[in-house]
Amino acid sequence: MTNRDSKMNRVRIQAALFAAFMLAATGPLAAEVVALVGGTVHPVTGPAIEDGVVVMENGRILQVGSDVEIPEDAREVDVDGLHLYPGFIHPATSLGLTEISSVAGTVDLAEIGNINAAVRAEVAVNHDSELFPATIAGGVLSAHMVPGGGLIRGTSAVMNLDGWSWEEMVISTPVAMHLDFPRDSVDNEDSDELAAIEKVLDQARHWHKARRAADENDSRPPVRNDQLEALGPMLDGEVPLMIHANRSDVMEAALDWAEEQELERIILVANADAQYLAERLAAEDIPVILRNVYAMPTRRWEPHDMAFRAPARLHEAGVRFAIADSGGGLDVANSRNLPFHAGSAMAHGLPAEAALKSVTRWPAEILGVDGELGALEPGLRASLFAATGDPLEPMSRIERVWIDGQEYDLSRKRGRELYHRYRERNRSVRQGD
Amino acid sequence: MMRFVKTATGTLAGLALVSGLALADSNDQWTPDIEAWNSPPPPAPAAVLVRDATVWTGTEDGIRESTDLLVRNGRIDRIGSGLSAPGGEVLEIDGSGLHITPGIIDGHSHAAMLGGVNEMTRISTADVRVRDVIDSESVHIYRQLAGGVTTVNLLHGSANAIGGQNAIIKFRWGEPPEALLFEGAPEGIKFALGENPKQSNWDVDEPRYPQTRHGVEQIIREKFQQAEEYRRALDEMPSGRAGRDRVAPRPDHELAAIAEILRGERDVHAHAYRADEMLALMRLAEQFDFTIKTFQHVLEGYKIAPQMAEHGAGGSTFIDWWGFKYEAIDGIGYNPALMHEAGVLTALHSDNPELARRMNLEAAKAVRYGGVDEHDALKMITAWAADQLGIGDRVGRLKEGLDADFVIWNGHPLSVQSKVEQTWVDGRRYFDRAADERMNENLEAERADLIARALDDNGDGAENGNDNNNEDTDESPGLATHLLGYSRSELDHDHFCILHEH
Amino acid sequence: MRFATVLLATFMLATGLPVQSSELRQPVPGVHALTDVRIVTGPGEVIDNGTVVIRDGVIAAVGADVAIPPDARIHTFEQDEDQDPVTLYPGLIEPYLSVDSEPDEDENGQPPPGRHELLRPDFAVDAGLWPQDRVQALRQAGFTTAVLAPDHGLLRGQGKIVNLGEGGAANNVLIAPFGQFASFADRAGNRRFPGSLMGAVALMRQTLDDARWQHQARRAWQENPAQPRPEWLEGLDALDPVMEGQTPLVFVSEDNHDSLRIAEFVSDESVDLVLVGHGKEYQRLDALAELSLLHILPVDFPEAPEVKDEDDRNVSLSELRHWDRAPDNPRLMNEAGIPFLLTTHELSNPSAIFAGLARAVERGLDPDVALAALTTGPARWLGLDDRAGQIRTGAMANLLVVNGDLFTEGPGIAQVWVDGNRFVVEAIEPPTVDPAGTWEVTLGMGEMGDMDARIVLSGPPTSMTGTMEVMGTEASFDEVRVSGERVIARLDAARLGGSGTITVRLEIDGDRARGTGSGPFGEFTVRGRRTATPDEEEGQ
Repeated sequence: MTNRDSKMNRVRIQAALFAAFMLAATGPLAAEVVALVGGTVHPVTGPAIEDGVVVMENGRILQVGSDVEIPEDAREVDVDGLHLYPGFIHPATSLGLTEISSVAGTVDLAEIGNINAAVRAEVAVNHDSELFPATIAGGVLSAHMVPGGGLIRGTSAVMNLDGWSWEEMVISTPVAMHLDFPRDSVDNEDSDELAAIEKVLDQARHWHKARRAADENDSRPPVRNDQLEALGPMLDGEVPLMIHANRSDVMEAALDWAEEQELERIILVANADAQYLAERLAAEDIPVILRNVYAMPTRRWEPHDMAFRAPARLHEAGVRFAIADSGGGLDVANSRNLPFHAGSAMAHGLPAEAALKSVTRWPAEILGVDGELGALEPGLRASLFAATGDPLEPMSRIERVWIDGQEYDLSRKRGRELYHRYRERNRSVRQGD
Repeated sequence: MMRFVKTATGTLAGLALVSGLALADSNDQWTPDIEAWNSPPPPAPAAVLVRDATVWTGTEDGIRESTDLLVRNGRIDRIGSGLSAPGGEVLEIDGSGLHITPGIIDGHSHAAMLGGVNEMTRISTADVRVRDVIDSESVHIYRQLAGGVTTVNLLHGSANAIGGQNAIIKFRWGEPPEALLFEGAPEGIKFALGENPKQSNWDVDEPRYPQTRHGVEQIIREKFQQAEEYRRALDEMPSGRAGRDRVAPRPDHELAAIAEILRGERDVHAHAYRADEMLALMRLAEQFDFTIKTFQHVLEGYKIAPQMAEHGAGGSTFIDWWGFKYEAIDGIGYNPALMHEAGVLTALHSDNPELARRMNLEAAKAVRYGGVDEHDALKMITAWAADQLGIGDRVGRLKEGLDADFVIWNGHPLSVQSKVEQTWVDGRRYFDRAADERMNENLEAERADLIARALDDNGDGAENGNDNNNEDTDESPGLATHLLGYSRSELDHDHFCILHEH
Repeated sequence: MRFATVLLATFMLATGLPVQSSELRQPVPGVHALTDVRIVTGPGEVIDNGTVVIRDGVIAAVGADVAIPPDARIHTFEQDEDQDPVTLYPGLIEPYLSVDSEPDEDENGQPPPGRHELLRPDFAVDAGLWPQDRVQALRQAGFTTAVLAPDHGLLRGQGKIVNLGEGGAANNVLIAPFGQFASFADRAGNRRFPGSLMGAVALMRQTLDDARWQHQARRAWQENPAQPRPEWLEGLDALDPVMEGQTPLVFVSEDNHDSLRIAEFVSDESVDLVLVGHGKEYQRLDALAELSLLHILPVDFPEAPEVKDEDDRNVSLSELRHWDRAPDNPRLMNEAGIPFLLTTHELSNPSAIFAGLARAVERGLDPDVALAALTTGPARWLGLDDRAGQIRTGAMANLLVVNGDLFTEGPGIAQVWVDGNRFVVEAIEPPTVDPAGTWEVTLGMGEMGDMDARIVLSGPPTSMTGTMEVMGTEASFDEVRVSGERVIARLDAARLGGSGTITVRLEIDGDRARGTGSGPFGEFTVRGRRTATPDEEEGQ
């Protein structure tokens, strides 16, 4: 061996990297029609189609089915033996806002102060985060970026995980206003934190009333106030309020409070305790972003698998929900594992179809982007991947990815590059022995 | 699924069925408790015969379909087809459609320790022993049994270059601490390299030496030299009458433990991430003529896998945790595949009590990343994990003569769809899905009863002194939900365990 | 506010002047006869009607037909037939009275070279640490003898066996030093060794080996000076008597893990190991029974956990269980054959031990076993069985006079005798008044002048709570009792910025009250009126 071989390999890898670079550099090829053929298509909103076809044009899905007439000018891509799924949607994460959680300079997650209503998550998203390629390689192609600081935390955005700037990656914003419901208000009628929140909401209502009055009467508008202005769409019901709470009694208190405040569009971002109020959530049609199937019970006496079972419990009760991971800490770098949360929920009673929807269609609906993402249907964004098997199964591999109709070069993931480089190196050392 | 049969002469068969049912009934009534002290020991049947299962042996026998597993007196007696039941009482389990694997072994755990995982006050704490602080009440034990874990290596944290002595325990839920110890397991010790011992992510007023990777390497060498000198002084001390009027060297438990390393009597399990620091420790060990038993985490193991293989160091790693600190940015899922391919004894660990409950899915990812053979992937959480701890002759494989530590799964053990049905340790069934359901019902009922009585008592008007009754406050959800609403234990883990100390 | 603080401070300072209840400076006669009284001379041994003669602090005679010496002052306890008999019990013995022995921080907070702040086997509880408040409180709960135990560090030092009379250590020490006290609970602080439990165990293990080594090394050097002198590890020689089993090693255990850990740690057979328990022994009886160690058990059974409603998910099952089962602990220990003594340790008020014991007796604990664990048991352990724990001739005149039975929720301990000195506690009678309401009172402090205070009492007379407000500072009473027409209320003076206990005794006459009080600053008078009753307050 084989210095020559390894050199050859290195040349080959470099060539591949160069090709990938060129591909990325040229940007979307205008109006190319691509047909993915030969694979099993899983539209999510309908039954699986064996030997199906997905036709993509201009970043959108043109057609899906088995009996599809492929346009003449289409470039056919053979995905024989693979399974096509819409990209997973992460329903609540700090991806893009956190790079290396122990290095403060790389973290833009939590602003200080209690009231940060006018903070917009998307503007701090580092579009070249090293975490994006790793996440995309796991089939998670878009995510809901949520800011993390204070009681009123600001607004969030649904974004593609690939693009040339955060601006280009935004699919929808503002998706929601975020509120961390103060836990102490459960036992304390005089919770300072809740009082602070209510005060700001009152002030915002007043501000917007004054604004409307000014518009109608052509009188002097109120003094500009960034935070109060930012709360307007939420108070008007244009944008939902996402309430974060992690204990069943806090969740109950939060829902009661939202009713008192006459806030109509509520989404609960909650841990497995949400299962304890499943009936109420279903009756009031409050969707849930369920944090972390891979969580321990928070009380010793609870069943060891209470968090694993939570999605099934919500589903049985008829609650609309999407599955998330913990959204922070170690889970940011491992957002790619989102589908396995749904997979484990399936092992614990969630029907397979629901498990798949809980990380595709349902987050799209809850986040208000079901006209863009979450299924393989004509008109939606062509963001999908080809896997060797059920993508909720860790043993399956994701082989190819398309985002907005463009094939994504998976070797952009630094991990794959390291893998190939060191595999060659180690093999050559061994053979050299 | 289960029945007792008395295999005697044919004429007794009818009778046996009757008495067998009674026995089966008592056996099926065993119910564990969520507090160890209140959890009765599971029955210890003289013989257990699982019939017609898919057996993942962890040995060269590979994965055997339609195979029987016979356990007698806590040990694996035979594995084969159409085994005949021995005389006496036999607990038979119909294993058709089920898979059996060896009990999962977690080579890096802190799940059952009391009063701190780190003694972080000194750069070397070789005199500190985890076995002094085993928490037999840790609910993690029961919850991990439910995930098929049977043996774990409880390690001191990673705050110091030379940490404390580890303790290998079996999950004999209900027994007091001493009885959890894996009897006869090799002694070991934790080392730590990189960001943690050099205090990169600590908030300290007075930094201590060392603050660099080369300082860490130096202080370890210095300790080795001191330990050699100590040992020499002890050896030079005359014994018996001749030593009576000689001042003996003052005993030094720290140096005594380090001297054991140098004599090959204590295995080093070294927390490390980067290639440079691991290489340096291996070379240091070679100077002192011993072998590093394992590197823990070993995220860049793939970069020096040939050197590790040559030195003989095992690699005990996360499959996909990466990027949470600077020294972890080159962590890749392919690491186990690459280390294994290069001839490194490779295993997967949890370092996290929640993750430990689904190590089978971590093994599944070794198939995903780099295409490790499924049986080999399973060995990374069983046979090879056992070998790394020096207990491969007792556990980690399904083989005649080994401890009857095994897991019965309702499907392919690496599939996300599968669940643990039963977990056996020493031939006793410590986790059983049906018993778990019974326990949950019992706990519900008991709580309801106690709460009703407490409400009665509260109603008596007397003011109670307890202002916060949160169960297990260390685990209460989201005491600090200032980030995205994830729970306190997760936060602690991120910021304390991974970044800093474990 | 500032003014008030200054004034309060002055108020407390005045306490430096000892206030003598008697102006006599010479001894009084010491011969007493307690007669017409039921006598429990020891566990299970009763004289229905007898006499005890005390002469100069020692019991001179006990029996049904004892002649009363002519020089005796006679105390008769004859009761009507419909009244509970008055009973004499042997004085109770507290086997573990912990004394705050944490050293004051010196300027740099560092121990001298060669010493570790948590290793103080040579420390001894000295006269300056006499815990006067606790001594008083214990005495009022019927305790006449106690072991003073240092409470700081891993190796904490030596204790003393004392009687609980007046006059501090000088008048009361029986045996000193006694025992060596130890625990794994203390830590050196943030970044100093040990900072963890396993570190604490390692340090102790090293220290005990160091002590053994020092013993050998010093002797070797004495015999053969022609070798390097061994380093001197100050304090460790004090461990020699413990290692040789001459005095017990009393180890304070935090939980069952700790108990088992300690037993394993002190596996040396020659060490006389005794555990101060934690109350959860019932959870690991089998393992503990194998150790057959003497336990000193607390009686601090928990109150019912606070529960909001049936669906309160935040109440811990472990806590509920312990609340339910804790009162079984002494009985189960007894049934398992594990010897134990009882302690008031962990109880903020030692008198609360009786409520706990009443619950334990209700759960089947033999009252004689309980009495033995407070009298003959500790006397034997302390080597005092010839002079304490029983009412018998030749023993110290330590006894208590109880209206009715001792093991009731609030026994009527009327008098406690220590070394033949009588301390009147309270005559306990059923409440005949309801003092609930707000009382505006004046505290008369002699030369210091008067001070206004407001006392608010609430709840039924049998279980009252209350507060006292002085100069804008409000504090809750730790205890409020109503006996006949009298209210006795106590509070920890620390709540008002002083130290010690403040006691108020009020005679209630309709809406008027008058009485006396005592505190760290001395005695005072109290008089005042009720300005509101609870009903009126609700109406306001």
